[in-house]
Amino acid sequence: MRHRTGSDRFARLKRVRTPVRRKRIRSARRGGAPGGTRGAPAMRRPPTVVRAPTSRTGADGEDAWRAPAVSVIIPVMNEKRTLGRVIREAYRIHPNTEVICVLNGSTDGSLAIARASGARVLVYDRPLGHDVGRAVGARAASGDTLLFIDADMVIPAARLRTFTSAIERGTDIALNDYSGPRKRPVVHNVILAKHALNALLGRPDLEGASMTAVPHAISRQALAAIGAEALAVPPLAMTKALHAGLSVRRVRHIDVGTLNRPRTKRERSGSLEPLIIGDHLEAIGWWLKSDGAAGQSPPGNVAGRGDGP
Amino acid sequence: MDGAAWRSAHPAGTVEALRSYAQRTWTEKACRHSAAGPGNLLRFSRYGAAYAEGIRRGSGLELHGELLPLRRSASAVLYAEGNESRLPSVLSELERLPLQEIVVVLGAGAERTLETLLSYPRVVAVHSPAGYVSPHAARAAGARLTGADAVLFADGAKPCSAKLLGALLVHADAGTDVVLSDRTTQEGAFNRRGAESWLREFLNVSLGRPDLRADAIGGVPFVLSRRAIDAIGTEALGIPARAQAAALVQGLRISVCGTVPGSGEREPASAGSGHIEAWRDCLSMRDARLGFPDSKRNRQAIGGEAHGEDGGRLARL
Repeated sequence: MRHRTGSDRFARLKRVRTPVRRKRIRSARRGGAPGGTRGAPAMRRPPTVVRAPTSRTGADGEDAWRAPAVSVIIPVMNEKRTLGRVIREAYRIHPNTEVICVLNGSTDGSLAIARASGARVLVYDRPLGHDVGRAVGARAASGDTLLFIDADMVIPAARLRTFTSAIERGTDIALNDYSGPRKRPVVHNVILAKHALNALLGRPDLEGASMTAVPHAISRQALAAIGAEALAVPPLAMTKALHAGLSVRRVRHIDVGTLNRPRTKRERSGSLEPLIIGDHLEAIGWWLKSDGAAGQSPPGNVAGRGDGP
Repeated sequence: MDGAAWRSAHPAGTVEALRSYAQRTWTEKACRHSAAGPGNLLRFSRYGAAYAEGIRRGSGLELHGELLPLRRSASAVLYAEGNESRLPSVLSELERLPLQEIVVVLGAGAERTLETLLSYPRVVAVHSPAGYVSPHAARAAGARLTGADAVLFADGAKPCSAKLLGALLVHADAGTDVVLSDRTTQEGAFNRRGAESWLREFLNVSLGRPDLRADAIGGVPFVLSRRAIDAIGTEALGIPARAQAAALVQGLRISVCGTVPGSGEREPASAGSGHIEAWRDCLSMRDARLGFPDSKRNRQAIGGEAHGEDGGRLARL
């Protein structure tokens, strides 16, 4: 309980039912000391609790600091149920892993879990909006490989490692090989948008794989090429990556469709579909403006040739 | 009854004269019946075959072809290249329709076909020794030669029954500017449809017509009204994606005639570049997100541009 400070106090006051509190505490402990006697990496590394805004080094001292191999970026908004387990798996990916939790608009006690886990914590009082947390986390990350995951989805470290290993072997952007349910005549417009953008950019082989879906990993070079801010609009980031000639690959299928808990509240407040379609159009617009289509377009008088009888 | 009356008034009348009479009287009947709305006209038009049968019996003359309640003129444009052997069967179906003219655009090396077309009185043949970059460009060139109120764009390599083609024309006559056939259903499951189909569907979605699915101008057979041809322009008509975007942006009335299947004509390899042009057209005319706003992201938190009504300052969830 002594870990609780600051804005998290409010969440504590709200929580009145004892069983719920017990459960939360247990998950916080598990997050803080993963693996128990096995001596998980989180136990060995010094806790690097940093509040936003943070410095890039952000560690206890220059002697203790060395660049992490992997930065795992986890945007968090009221995800206390799974956050502890998600952070624990993140630390297992690599012995030298930095976990960055970007708390935005979280009021449920997720902050205490994140702080207790030893992760770097960036706190925003209000929700940042879809995907912005990833961009914010990426800007603060120091690792050679950046892995993006969600706080509500517990994916075993062994599976996540496929993405970071792909980056270590030379891939710039390692995507979840997830195209959504598409063996049907009519698909969701979000699935359609992803397929269409990849096709337009000359990569129909990527099918519906997209930076809109987690998990995905990117190299530091890729981050430098596309810019952290572009990550807030994932199709734009993907378009910039392909335009820069980076190596973009589908590396492993993680069925986020079934892992993702039903977003009943979100569905009530409005579907994400218009946002994601707009993102794809923004990406197409950027691509056209930056002359990405120059090599592919035979504009002009397509209708004009061979007109006359 | 009408057939017998015509026969007694014109004892020496020809089949052609009977056909034009039947077409005229059927249109008048349909118009009277459909005063309440275009929906009635479409329903009423289904009984054309029964009316033709009555005329046939009353007049004692053989009456070929479809009777369509068309108030305005219609013509057809088709492109025949490499597969001229199919042309006679395609033309025999088109001959059954009350068309003003049939413009046949011939590609390179089709000189011999030109002669066989002379036997069709309503056919206007166009021949370009240099050929055309795509079937769409060829049909666009053909569309310039006709001044009809509605133009049916048909596949010159695969016959489609006059009854189905007639349904497209009736829809156009009832006030739809762009009447499309349904090729999305034929293309099967989404994952097998391929890039060109995904792009077509996404263009429709991004311009606010997800109901059209992957059906679009260019997929023969389809019908364009004179208003649509003038609004789109025959040059853009040669690049179907641009034509489709223009039709959607300009708010033309577009519908899919679900009972009429697409002919399955293969798209040329350059189809993807047409979509690039289409998006370039509409993204330059409208905002960068085509009315799909981003009002929830706090882009300023990462130093990005402000978006949304509040300039991106506040995230609203």
